[in-house]
Amino acid sequence: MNREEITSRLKALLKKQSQLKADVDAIQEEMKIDQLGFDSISILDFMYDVEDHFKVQTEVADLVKMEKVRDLIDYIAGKTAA
Amino acid sequence: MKKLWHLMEFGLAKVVLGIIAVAPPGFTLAFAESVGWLVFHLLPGRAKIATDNIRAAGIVRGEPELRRLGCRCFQSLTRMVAETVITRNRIRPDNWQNYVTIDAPPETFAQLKDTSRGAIIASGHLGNWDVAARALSMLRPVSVIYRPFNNPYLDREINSERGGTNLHLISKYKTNPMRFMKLLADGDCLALMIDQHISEAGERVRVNFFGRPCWATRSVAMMHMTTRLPLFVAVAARTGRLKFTAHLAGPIRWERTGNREADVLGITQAMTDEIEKIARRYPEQYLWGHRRWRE
Repeated sequence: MNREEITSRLKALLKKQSQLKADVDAIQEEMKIDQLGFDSISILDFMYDVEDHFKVQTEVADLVKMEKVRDLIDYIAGKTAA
Repeated sequence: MKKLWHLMEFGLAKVVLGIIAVAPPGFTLAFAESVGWLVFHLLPGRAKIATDNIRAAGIVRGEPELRRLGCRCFQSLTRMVAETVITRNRIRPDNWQNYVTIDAPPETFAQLKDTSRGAIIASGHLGNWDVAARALSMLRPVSVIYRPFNNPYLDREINSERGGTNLHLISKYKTNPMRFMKLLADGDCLALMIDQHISEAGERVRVNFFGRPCWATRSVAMMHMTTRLPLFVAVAARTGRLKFTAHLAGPIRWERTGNREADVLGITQAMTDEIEKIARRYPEQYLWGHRRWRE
């Protein structure tokens, strides 16, 4: 899976769980994750979706270091390439 | 007007807390139970919620016994407030076991004490949950997620009584969605109550409690599945004057089945069953006055 595909799928998952009013194309890589409209439960559902969809296992210590959407894309790209 | 009312409540609370801090514990505890008795008899609507819940749970029969148990649970709650204030400066790392006994297999307790990774604790409104959290905070950092009081002055004051060096209270309404994950990543023990009604549709799961369906938070189950951190159920019952037993079960380590909502239900029901088991053992210490079973 290339980075572009990861980005596209991730944005769709973000849109589903973050309750963003904006169109999925409005989600930019430089946007901060904690400004995407998540609450403390929907962020957990989102993380679950990421693991389920990309077939990766995330670590909470890694997740809390991620600030932007780009960080998450890079993380998934690293996990799926492994 | 609202601010004035809040300030009056705050003033009254300061007076009460000040008295509790200096009065002999025996007097304070007896006074607290008297207040609970009064509240039960002066608030018939709330008393009815308790007796209706107890009746539906099938724990006791007959109106006199229902009212006796209902009154006892109110007294348990007011006593809990007094106990929390009294023990706040008494419980220390070198003496917490004089107050709290752990009822758990040694390996379960050893895993709970393991500070190399975070842990999640689900608890219920029985006995004295604050003292249990304080005792645990003698072993590792504990963050308790709570629902703030509507009165901000009271909230700040009560939390200064409930918190401690290693014991932090975190409002469930704080806006950073990653805050709980950060605490767990730092190795904290995150404690949440799971036996309150949840109104928000996306945040709840339907479980059975005392044979009747009710809504519970799905957050603990989701937290466990996402972080894979050990999940414990802990409930602290009062066993004497300023003596408590913390009943500890777990850790739950749920393997995902691929069906998220079935897993959420399975985990949450397992935790709820554990709390019910302890509440059946100490029914007079359970918070029956909460409207738990709602549509």
